[in-house]
Amino acid sequence: MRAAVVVSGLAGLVLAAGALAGCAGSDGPAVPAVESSPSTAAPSAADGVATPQSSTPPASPVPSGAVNEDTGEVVGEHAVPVWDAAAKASAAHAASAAMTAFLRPELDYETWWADLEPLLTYEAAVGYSYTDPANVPASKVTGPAVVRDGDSAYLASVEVPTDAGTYTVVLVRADGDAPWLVERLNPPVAKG
Amino acid sequence: MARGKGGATALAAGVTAAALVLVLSLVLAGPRSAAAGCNPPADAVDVDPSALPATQVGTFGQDQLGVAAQILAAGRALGLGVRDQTIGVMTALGESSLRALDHGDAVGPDSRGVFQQRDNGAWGTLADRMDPFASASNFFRALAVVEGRESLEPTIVAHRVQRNADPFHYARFWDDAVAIVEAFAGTDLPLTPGTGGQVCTGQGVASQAFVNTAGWASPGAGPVVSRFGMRANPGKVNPGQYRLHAGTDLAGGGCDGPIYAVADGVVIDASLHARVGGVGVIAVDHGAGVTTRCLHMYASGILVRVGQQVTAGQQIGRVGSSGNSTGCHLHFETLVNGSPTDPEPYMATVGITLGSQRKDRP
Repeated sequence: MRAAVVVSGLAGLVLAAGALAGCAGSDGPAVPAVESSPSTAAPSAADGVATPQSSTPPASPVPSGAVNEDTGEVVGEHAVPVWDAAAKASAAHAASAAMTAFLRPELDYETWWADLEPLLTYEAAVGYSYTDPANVPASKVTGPAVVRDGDSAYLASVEVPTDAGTYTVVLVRADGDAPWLVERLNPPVAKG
Repeated sequence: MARGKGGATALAAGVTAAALVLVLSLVLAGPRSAAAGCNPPADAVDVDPSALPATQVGTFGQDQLGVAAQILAAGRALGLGVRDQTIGVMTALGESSLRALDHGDAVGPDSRGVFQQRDNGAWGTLADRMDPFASASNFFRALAVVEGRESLEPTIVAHRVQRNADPFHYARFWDDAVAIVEAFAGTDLPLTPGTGGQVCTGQGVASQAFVNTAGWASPGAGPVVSRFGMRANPGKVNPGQYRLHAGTDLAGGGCDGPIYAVADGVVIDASLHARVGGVGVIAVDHGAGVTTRCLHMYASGILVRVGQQVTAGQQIGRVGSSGNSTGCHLHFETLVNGSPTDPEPYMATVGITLGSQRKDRP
């Protein structure tokens, strides 16, 4: 699946370049063509999910720089993430940093939270902001982080050993330019 | 086993934490949820703790059910509803498996009792902490002042009382808690198994959509109410500006209509985005460079978490109207290698006609 992402990522660059060239010089409101010519090729079943051939062109070129009215995102502004050695290394670093900040039961809450909060997603911050650092059962990271291969270049699952067992840190990034942020600091699975 | 330890040291820090969350919420400036109608009413106190089930419930025997009865009675005495009572049982399951433990653990050697309350002044005397009814009463008094708890996941409500390390620890104990409370009630209650980590606990089991032979499903009910393309923004944020409507809008069955994963994949976003009015977003990476997104759910309508695997046709959300929206609908996006792509022709290539009222090609 990773390989597929990388390969079709290249195809996407070609498509994006085509879209750029197509819209250069056209300032008027490009009325989107509603009709399209979807590929008639049978969907492939690779990876268990059939996806349309990546050669299927978009129905209408979306102008680069167009703003998504619902999310505020700018089309083409950020790179599509790729799962490569650099991504793994940055995920391992982010996971270790977050665990190091999390495992400081001796700290007062304000100091602990000020260091941890910037490393978390908003959703994670809402949850972990109510944790009392004195109740965290581990006190230090005891070894290097191990990055597991997963199903998406947007996600990383990283095992971080501590003096109270191995945590599994789930990280997510919004795009290829965005930092890894922590979604979950999953403790060792309780026995019994 | 015990992980949570409520704390009074905590009270001061708790206020700070609440303030921080308040600030974060203000930044988001969007509705966190519209959960009022999806949980049992707070005053629904119907479970009679004296009706101890005659036999064991699941793996829980008479001693543990006796402790559960004390917890239910404590919640009832404080006028709390069945959802709160069940959160109490869930918390005790996660702390002690419903046993009045006379010992703590590595992180809290001073923790005692069913709720593993610490010796920090917040939870009364040792006798109080060891007594199921008294300790449950103190637990529920702290729970009763958790702001907006009807709009929070059960595990998060428990965590805000216990302040343990892992906010998501208790979710896995919800189903057992529901089974125990229903055994006392002698009837099904408006509490749904599998919702210990969801805001809405009373809306029944999630549904499953039709999946075609190619492994694809429709994200929600039709008809199509707005198409993909550049347009003058009709929304309430930046109205009239020339913007990309990056998806297809579906009526989706109206408010709370089911939203489905269109194919197998993994959730890469399940949150409210701050940039445009706190719009709810669920994004699923299906592999091969294909990502789909659903927008406008409220927090209560986001039923999945980042990192969760989903299957085609699995319900992942409920239709809402958060963000740049003037009424409940489902905005569905397909992104190919990160580029917004018209969902209607894209989905047609996998045999799904968006907005169709009939079953798509089986």
